[in-house]
Amino acid sequence: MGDLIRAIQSDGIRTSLSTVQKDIKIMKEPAPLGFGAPIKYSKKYSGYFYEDPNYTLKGVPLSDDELDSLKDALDAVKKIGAMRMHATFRNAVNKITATFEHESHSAQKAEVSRKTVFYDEAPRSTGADYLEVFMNAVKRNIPMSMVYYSYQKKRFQCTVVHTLFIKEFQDRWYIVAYSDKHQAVRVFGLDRVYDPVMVNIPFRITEHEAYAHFEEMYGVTPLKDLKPVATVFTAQPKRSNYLRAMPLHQTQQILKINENGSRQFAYELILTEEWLERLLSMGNSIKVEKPKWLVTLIKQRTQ
Amino acid sequence: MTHPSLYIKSQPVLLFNAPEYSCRIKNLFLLRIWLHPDFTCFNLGYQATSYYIRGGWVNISQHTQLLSTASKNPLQLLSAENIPYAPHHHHFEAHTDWLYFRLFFEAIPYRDQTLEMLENNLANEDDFDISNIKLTLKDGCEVVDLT
Repeated sequence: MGDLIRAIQSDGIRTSLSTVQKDIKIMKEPAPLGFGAPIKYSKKYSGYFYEDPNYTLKGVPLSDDELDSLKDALDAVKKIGAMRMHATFRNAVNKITATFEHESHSAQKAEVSRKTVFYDEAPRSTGADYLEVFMNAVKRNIPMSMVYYSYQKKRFQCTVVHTLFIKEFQDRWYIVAYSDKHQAVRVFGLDRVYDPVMVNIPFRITEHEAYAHFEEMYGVTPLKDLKPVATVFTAQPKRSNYLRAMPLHQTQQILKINENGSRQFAYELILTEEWLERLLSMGNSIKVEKPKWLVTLIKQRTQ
Repeated sequence: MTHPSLYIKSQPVLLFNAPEYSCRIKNLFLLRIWLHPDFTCFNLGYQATSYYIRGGWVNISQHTQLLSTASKNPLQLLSAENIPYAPHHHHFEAHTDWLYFRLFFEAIPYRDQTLEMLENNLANEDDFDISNIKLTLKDGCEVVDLT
């Protein structure tokens, strides 16, 4: 033990007998509390040794570059992914991150911490709390009783839903489900749901066209028919550049390029409240031309 | 929040969605009733209105009782979640606000019955009183416990 402490101290690390003993104890403990290291004591040599000489703390040996890449990836998952996912996933990511930070602590201690990537961290929406229970219900085909508050109607409702699938749109979570109260397939925002609970009644299997529709939809709230229609608008040159760099939808096409750099864009999708809001958010940098009823609706909303 | 389904014992927990009832206050809603061997839970919603400035306020009397045709004695309120006991207030910020809350009463027998919720013995028109709550066992559905 004395040799071990001297070896550690020769690396410039201050330690003590009790610290080393505690570290060995943690190493021997099974995961996730410890590292499950096969450490044994040798009376002959009065010291500790690995019973399995191939054992390594890292499990999968990684190079420094690989460790750096892993850290970047974990940061991204933690910042972007974990906030979108349910508690179990977040806990798993936190465990990996904590383990990684423990492992890489000594390597990083001399470095000055500098943030290299800034992520857009949207506040966690309240609906995410119920994600896990709805995921369970979908996987097991179990109906859920829930209370729902409609922002639009300003009214509470109580219904039993038979969830077809869960949909995420711009950090908001929705369920697409057959609702007993409405006797139809409806979309419910999870941020407006209270006390969902699984109930022991037969699950209603709905072969619904909703699956196909959501591929052709921007958002979740259809304005009119569930049929894709062409939206056509002309965007000013600067806006055109942004849209070319990052299309609004996978159906985006450029119909016309003007001399001044403005472009006419076309999209084939089911028109939704969210699509309308997206168009409005671009202000006068675009001029919507088709369909006519959408042009009228935009005029009404901006008056 | 303590979820009622965490208390499941030998008897099933029954849930009654959208029960039939009468209430003088039109913006108070009885949404669900939980029948549990240890308690009875009411899920309620309140929609603020423009009648009061910024929607006004709400609270619940600690002496709120449940009267049942299946029980001789009134059933006492055990706890309230997401709504304060009087004299404290939950103040709304706008007349478009709403509040979802839970009231836990003593357990009621598992049988068909009519219930009445009384906030105070001396009736006041602003009290959260709900009457003619019809509870028919066949309308209840069993809560699934995956714990």
